[in-house]
Amino acid sequence: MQTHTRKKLEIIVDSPLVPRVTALIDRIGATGYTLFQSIGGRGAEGDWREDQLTGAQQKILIKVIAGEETANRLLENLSGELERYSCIIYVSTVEVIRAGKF
Amino acid sequence: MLDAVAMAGSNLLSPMVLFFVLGFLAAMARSDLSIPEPIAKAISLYLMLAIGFKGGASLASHGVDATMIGVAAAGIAMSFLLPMLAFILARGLARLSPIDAAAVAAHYGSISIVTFVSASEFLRMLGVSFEGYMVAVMALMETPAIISGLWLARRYLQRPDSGRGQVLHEVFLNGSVVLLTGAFIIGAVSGTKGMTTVAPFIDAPFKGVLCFFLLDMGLIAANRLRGTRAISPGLAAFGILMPLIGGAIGVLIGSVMGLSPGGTALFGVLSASASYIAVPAAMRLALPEANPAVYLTVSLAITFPFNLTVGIPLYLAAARWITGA
Repeated sequence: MQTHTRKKLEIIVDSPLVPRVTALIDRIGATGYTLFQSIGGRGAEGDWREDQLTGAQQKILIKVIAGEETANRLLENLSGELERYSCIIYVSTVEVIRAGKF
Repeated sequence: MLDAVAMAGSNLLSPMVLFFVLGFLAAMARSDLSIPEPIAKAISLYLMLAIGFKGGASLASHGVDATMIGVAAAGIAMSFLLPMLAFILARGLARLSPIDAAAVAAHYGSISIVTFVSASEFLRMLGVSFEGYMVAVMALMETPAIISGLWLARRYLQRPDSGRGQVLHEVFLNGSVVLLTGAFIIGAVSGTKGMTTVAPFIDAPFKGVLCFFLLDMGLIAANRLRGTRAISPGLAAFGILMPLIGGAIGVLIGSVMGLSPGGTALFGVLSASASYIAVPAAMRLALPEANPAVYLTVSLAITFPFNLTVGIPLYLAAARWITGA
C-alpha cells in the first residue's frame, strides 16, 4: 500500500497549559491533534499520580501529525515559548495512509 | 487550658479527622485503597455547592449588617497582604527561590474550603454558633492572593508577562469560585424556604460526604508526602509556622471587627489555611517556572493536615480567649 512520510510530535504538558499549546498548534496551521490523559509516573521532582484535585500537575499527552515543514515550525515555537513549562517534546517519523489529511 | 485540651481531643476523635487519618495511614502503608478521581471531584463540587447554599440561606435569615461589610473588607485585605508575609518567610525560612516563594505565598493568602468546612462542622459539634456570612468572606478571600503572588513574582521574571487575559479568566471564572459564589447567591435569594426544599440533599448527607472526602484527602496528602523530593526541613517548618502566624493575625482581626467567638475562630481558620484547588491551577498557568511539587506538597501534605488536626481547635481556643468567651 502507498504510504506517505509525515512527522509526529508528542508533547507531554501539565493540563492547565494545554490551551496554550493547542492554540499554538492552531496558529501554526496543523490540521489537528489528539489529547490523551495519563494516570501517573515519575519525573525529576518525584512520583506523581493523577489524584490531585487541582489538576495542576495532571499530565496530558498531545499528539500532532503534520508535514515536515509545519512540524519544524511547531517545534521551534514550542521550544521557544514553552521551554520553561517543563514539558516533554519528542518527534518521530511516521507513515500515514491518507496524505491529504495531514 | 483544660478546656482547650478537651477541645483538641474531641476534634481528633471526630469522624472527619479519623477518616482523614485512615486515608493517610492507608496510603502510607501502600494500601491499594483509592477513590476514583471523577468521584472525588464530584464530591468536592457537592461540598462547595452545599456550603455556599447554607451560607447564603443563613445570610437571608440574619440580614446584612455593618460587621459583615467590615469583615468582608478585612478578608480581602488579608488575602492581598498575607502573601507578602508568606513570601518573606518562604525566602528566609524555607530558602525557596523567589519564583517558588511567590507561588507558595499565593497559596497562603488564599483559603482552603475543606479546612473551613471541617472547622465549621467542629464548631457545630461543640454547639458554638458563628456568622453564616463567613462563607461569603471565604469566597472573597480565595482570589486576591493570586494577584499578589503574581505581583511578587513579576520582579524576578526574565520575561514579559504572557497570557494575562487567560490568567484573569482563570482567577475569576475558576470553577470553585463560580460554584461557591453562585450557590451562595442562590441560597441568599431562596432563603429559609429554599433551604427547607433542598435540605435532604444539602444538609442531611453533608457530614457523611465530608468524611468520605477527607478520606480521599488523607490518601492524597500521604501519597504526596511519600513520593516527593520537594520537602526540606525549612519548608516543613514554613508549612506549620505560616498557618500559626496567619491564624493569630486572623483571630486578632476577627475579634477587633466584633465577630462572635465562633466567627473569630473561622476568620482565624481562613487566614491560616492554604489553597490547594484554585491557586495551584492558576499558578501553573501564570507562573510555569515555579515548581508545582513545592507548593502542592507544602499546602496539601503539611499545612492541611496540621490545620485539620491541631490548628482548628487551637484557633478556636485563641478566639475564645481573646473575645473573653
